[in-house]
Amino acid sequence: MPKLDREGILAMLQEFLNQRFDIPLESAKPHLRLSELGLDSMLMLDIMLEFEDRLAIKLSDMSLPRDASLGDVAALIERNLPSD
Amino acid sequence: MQPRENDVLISGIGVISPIGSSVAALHASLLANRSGIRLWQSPELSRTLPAGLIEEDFSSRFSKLELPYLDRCSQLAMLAATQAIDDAGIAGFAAHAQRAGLYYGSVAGGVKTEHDWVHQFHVEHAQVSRPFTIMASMLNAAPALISIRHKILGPVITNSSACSSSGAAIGEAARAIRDGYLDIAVAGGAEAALTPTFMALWGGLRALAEVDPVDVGRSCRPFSADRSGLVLSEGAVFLVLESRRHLEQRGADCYARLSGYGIASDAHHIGSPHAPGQAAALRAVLQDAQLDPASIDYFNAHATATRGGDPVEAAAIREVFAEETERLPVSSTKAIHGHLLGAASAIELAVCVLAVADSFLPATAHLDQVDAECALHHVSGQAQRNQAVEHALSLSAGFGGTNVALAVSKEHDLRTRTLQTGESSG
Repeated sequence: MPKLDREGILAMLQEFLNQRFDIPLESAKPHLRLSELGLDSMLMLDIMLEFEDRLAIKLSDMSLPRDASLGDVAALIERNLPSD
Repeated sequence: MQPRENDVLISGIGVISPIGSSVAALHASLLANRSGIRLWQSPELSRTLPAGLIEEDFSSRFSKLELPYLDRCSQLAMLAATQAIDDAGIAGFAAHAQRAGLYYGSVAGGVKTEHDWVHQFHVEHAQVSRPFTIMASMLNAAPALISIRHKILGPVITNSSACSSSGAAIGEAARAIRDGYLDIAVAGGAEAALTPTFMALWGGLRALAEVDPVDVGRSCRPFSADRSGLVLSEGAVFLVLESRRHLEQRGADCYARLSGYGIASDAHHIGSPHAPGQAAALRAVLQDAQLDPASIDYFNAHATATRGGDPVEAAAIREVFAEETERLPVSSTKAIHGHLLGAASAIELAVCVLAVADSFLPATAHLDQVDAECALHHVSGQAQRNQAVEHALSLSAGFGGTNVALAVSKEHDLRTRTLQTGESSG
């Protein structure tokens, strides 16, 4: 499987948010804050744990900036992907 | 009695129950004495039981962003509380700051969420729960979510005293208004614990009713010689209580007045009801409402239909009402709605409110032969229409020994609500 890039991760996140929470694909823009999407820290934590399972990775670095955006979450996942 | 500005008026009711999910539906079911007891079964439990099931999945009423925090108990509570608040014509409580409160009662809270997690832990060997599971399962999840939605900024308090939980909640809310701490409060309770684990937990007590072989709807038979036990139910009921001054200021109408609250502990045995404690709660409510036994026109009994409990309550009623016992109309509406546990006091108080507001005596269904140990002036068969009910009492007796009695009285000074009848339950 080719290595996922930031855009690929973002697309997966958008698809997931749509399926799990009915957030429209077109609404889940990367610059939007999680709070603007209605996602609190516990829901976001659950999503990240789900992505650990889906991608078979361990999110050892789970730090997000204050009032993080969806793009920040995609970056977090990207930097936790194995290097090869 | 002279009206006082801190009198407590009931200006809104919300109901999600086995005999109807609106005030009108509850009213219609009481008038028809229509049972909401259905057959309950689970692949995990060999025994089939009667239960007050509400055959509706309410999850579609909430967004998927809300649902992780919403055990079914909280869903029922949110819907009933919102119904009561809408019924009272309140658009939110933020402007009341700390002078609006929420008083809630429940026995098991988010028990399905908790038991599902226990299953994941023991059977699927999960080492951590999902992040929101602790929030969804805690006993005060429902009032927390209600307070957030409706911006209730004052006391948000959870009572748990088994079957009297919501009675204590309503009584304490009324007391806070009457004592001048609050202008308005939402008070009630919820339960949604019809899980196989919870049913089997109760099964251990050997106090659950058998399924009636002819008609499952007849399985709960309070005061009856052939009663076989209690029937567990689910549901949520809330009332909006407010001071006379507050109701007058906003020009709203009301159903009735909450005229008294009595609470007393048995201090006797954790699982055996005790007539002196129940009698003490009844004396306390009469004193609080400044009423004498002769003035009570209807008594909604706790009577769950257990062999041991019903005669104890009958004895408590006879002790307090003395010669008035022969006249006092008594019924247990649990025969048709079952035992709502954390919402039991609240639905039975709502029954009293409707009896006062619409002048009828609710009846005990399926009471063909009264147990001699439960001899009282029973209203049985069908509800009796056109019976003036100036004052009604409701008694609830919880495991652990907390007994709560509430009084409802007709309101004569403020505009009262005209009840709509004839809607089907559901």
